[in-house]
Amino acid sequence: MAEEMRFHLEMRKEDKIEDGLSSEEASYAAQRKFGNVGAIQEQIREQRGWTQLEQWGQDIGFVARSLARAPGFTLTALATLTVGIGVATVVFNLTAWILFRADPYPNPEQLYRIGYSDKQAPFIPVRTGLHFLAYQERTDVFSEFAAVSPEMANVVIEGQPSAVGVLRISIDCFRTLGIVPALGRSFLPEEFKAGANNVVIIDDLFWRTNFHADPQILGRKLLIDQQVCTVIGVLKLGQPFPPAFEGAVYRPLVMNVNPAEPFDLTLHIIGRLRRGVGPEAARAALAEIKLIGLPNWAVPYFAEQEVRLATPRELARPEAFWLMAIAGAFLYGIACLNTINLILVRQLGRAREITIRLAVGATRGRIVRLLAIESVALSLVVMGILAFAARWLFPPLFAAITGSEGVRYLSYWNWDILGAAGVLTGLACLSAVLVPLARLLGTDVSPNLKEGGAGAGESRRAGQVRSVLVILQAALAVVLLTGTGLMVRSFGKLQKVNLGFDPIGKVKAQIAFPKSYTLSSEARLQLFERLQQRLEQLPGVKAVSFGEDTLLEGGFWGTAQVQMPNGEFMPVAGNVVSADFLAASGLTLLKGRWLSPQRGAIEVVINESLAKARFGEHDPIGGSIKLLVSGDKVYSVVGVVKDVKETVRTIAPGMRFYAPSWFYPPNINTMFLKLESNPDLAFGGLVRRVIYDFDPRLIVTDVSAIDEMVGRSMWAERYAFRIMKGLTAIALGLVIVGLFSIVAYTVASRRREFGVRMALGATPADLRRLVLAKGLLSAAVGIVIGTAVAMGLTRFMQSLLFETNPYDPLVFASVGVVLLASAAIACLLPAHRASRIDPVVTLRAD
Amino acid sequence: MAQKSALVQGTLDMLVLRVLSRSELHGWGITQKLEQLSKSALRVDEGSLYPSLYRMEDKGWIEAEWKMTEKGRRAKFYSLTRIGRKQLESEIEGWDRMTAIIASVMSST
Repeated sequence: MAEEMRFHLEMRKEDKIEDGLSSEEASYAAQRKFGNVGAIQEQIREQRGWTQLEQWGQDIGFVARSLARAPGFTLTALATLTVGIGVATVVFNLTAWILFRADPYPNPEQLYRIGYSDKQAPFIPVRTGLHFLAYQERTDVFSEFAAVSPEMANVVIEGQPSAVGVLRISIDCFRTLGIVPALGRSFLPEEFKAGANNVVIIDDLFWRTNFHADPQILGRKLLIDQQVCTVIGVLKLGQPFPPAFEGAVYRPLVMNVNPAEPFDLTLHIIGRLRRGVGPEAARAALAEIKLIGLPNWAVPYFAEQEVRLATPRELARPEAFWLMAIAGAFLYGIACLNTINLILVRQLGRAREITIRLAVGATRGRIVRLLAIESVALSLVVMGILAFAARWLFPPLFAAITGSEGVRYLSYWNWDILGAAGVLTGLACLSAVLVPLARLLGTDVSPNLKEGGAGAGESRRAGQVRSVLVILQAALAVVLLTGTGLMVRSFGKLQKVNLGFDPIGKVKAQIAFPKSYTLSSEARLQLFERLQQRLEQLPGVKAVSFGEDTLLEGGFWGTAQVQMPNGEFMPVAGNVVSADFLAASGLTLLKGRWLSPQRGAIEVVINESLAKARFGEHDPIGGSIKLLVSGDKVYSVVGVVKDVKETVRTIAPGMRFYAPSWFYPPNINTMFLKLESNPDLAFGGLVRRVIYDFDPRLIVTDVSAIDEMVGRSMWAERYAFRIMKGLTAIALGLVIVGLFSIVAYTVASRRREFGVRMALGATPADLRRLVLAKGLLSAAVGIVIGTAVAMGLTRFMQSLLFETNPYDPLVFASVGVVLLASAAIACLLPAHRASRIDPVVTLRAD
Repeated sequence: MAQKSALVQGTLDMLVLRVLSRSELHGWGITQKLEQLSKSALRVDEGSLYPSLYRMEDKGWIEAEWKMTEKGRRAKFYSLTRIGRKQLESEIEGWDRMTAIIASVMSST
């Protein structure tokens, strides 16, 4: 446009020169004739409606330039928002998924898990195959059932045996739960017959970890418990299952039920209520059912069981997830406050600039637009970073945090995550506009200009707003820190817990026999003796024994009734173990001797608790105990060992005795190994290999280092602890950054005041103290508020805390100290700067 | 030289279209041509001409192209589009009707 008009002017000028004017006169004449070039251009632009667009362009350019000119502000704001929103998004998604996700099965409200209650537990989600058949054939309150029988099986892949959870599922199982294979097909009705059931469907994780997601998997043969099975399907990634219904390998369940052996088949059952039938009516109908053809010994056993229905969803330790969700919300709050504060500080720093703009005629709308563009621009960049992170960074990060390999294959590049991030970013952006906006609308032109001239300090109101924000941040951080502090304390206690034996270097391998593999008691004993000899040859192994699973077996199982001095029989755990158990387990012998390796009269070793209950102050050695089942027979006590906890959390270990393994070989199911130190990761594979070579029919269901089991038993604490630690570290970082930026700004805006103070005789130390005192005061107020809030909240953590008082004064005190120290760190540099102000330079600047 | 008259309101577009219907011209050429055709009786204001050109270009009546002039300078040449040609016809028609009405009103007194 400009060029065209220039051409026009040139032409006219030449025209005038031809008329006889000088070049200069011609040029003036031409311009006079043309009029205001700029105005005409403006008129054209306006007529084309470009002004609006141009203004937007100008504003966006202006914002981009001003953000680029303040890289400290821009980077801090971006980092704060990205970290805060990213972490909050992930934590919310993770916890919301677990806490609130609707059951993803078709019409989930009709689904009920069928189980029973007895004297020991309010709900045990298992029934026998007999029950299942009776429910199917003799009731009509359920329209369909999903039943599974989980078992561990030896699956051999490329020569390496491993114990894999195999679920045998009923015909209706997948249909009831709405499950369709992502690859291949589902089971056919004829495959639920004996001999035709050598087909398997595998789950996605099993497919990925063992077959590298090979699309040619269908038709592949797997060796499962010595049977060749064909893979016919692969399930979807992240396929949701009710607890106990998820496994790596699925096979058709052949219903083979014999009333004489009711415990041969136990099942987890979920039933779909028929339309119009309520759960209580259904329960009553099931309770009516009496099993037919039971052996006499089983009748009283079932008589004390009562049928119960429960929803399929049972959540393990929900409090750990609530804790994380709350922590995530706090972190998000801190990030938002931090951003508001940064934008506010920046806006205050530009108060004079904005005032001048208003004074020379900028509309408030235009300035609001600037603010809005600024925060929208920041949000867009944040969203961009988060979208990138969701695609590339989250999977490895989460796999590392949660320690679960399956997480790596899940995608976070989805609308749930991006949507949540978008909403959180939007809210942050809105809050970052609204608070400064509220201040801006109150901006009056004159006082700001005047303030710049007359006052030397910062305005009182501006200071107050910022102080409040800083205090809020500090308070939120205190609550987070307190939660983490309590977890640290509880975790320390858990790790120092005395199990009654030294877990270091101890390994146990649990062995199961396929149902087809039956052995006489004597043969079983000999098999374990030979296996013991084989395992003793492994490098690094110092002792091996076998017996019933006892070390950290997970709970107190009163398997025998022992007569007490008052004549009553009390439940006591009785374990058969081999003679080397004392050496292999690291139990402490307190009195007498351990079981003799020779067979002879039955002798037992009892633990402290049993000794105390049975013999009181008397010496138990030489005494005897009497069991309910053994009639008049008594067993002589030859030794007393220290109590051993059944789980890490057990407070009072139960009564227990150890009997020689030949006493009852059918119970032998575990090999105990003692190594010089904790085994490396490959050791489990080595043990499996050796046992497989020894007898391929044996199923090694689990090889665990006891020390690792101790760790695993604390998974909820460990998981929450890990995440809390991370969240708190980030929160503390944000608070320090926030505090630092505020204090630094305050110092900068009070330069003149400090200069005057110095000129009037204040020492650098005085100024340093002044700045530090102000920062620490805000922090202190924050600590007080935060502590009060934390006091109210920490009791909800009680169930996650092991032997830890939720009001632990040490934790509360250290949190205060940590926060004050952080505040001091944040104030140090600005305070130092304040003390180095040269009054002459500062005052001359005016 | 006769007294120069200002344009009748709303006729500039029509005049420009008319001039461009003969040949393509640049802005300066259009002013020259108009003055020449009106025997210097019409004074075309650049402040009106350029907004008018851009307006008609936006409406698609005329199109512009940068070309070399006879004297070897770069200039923006405007030419009529098909829509512009139709527009010109309807403007001429409207003008004829209007002048006839005005003439009849004026002669009736």
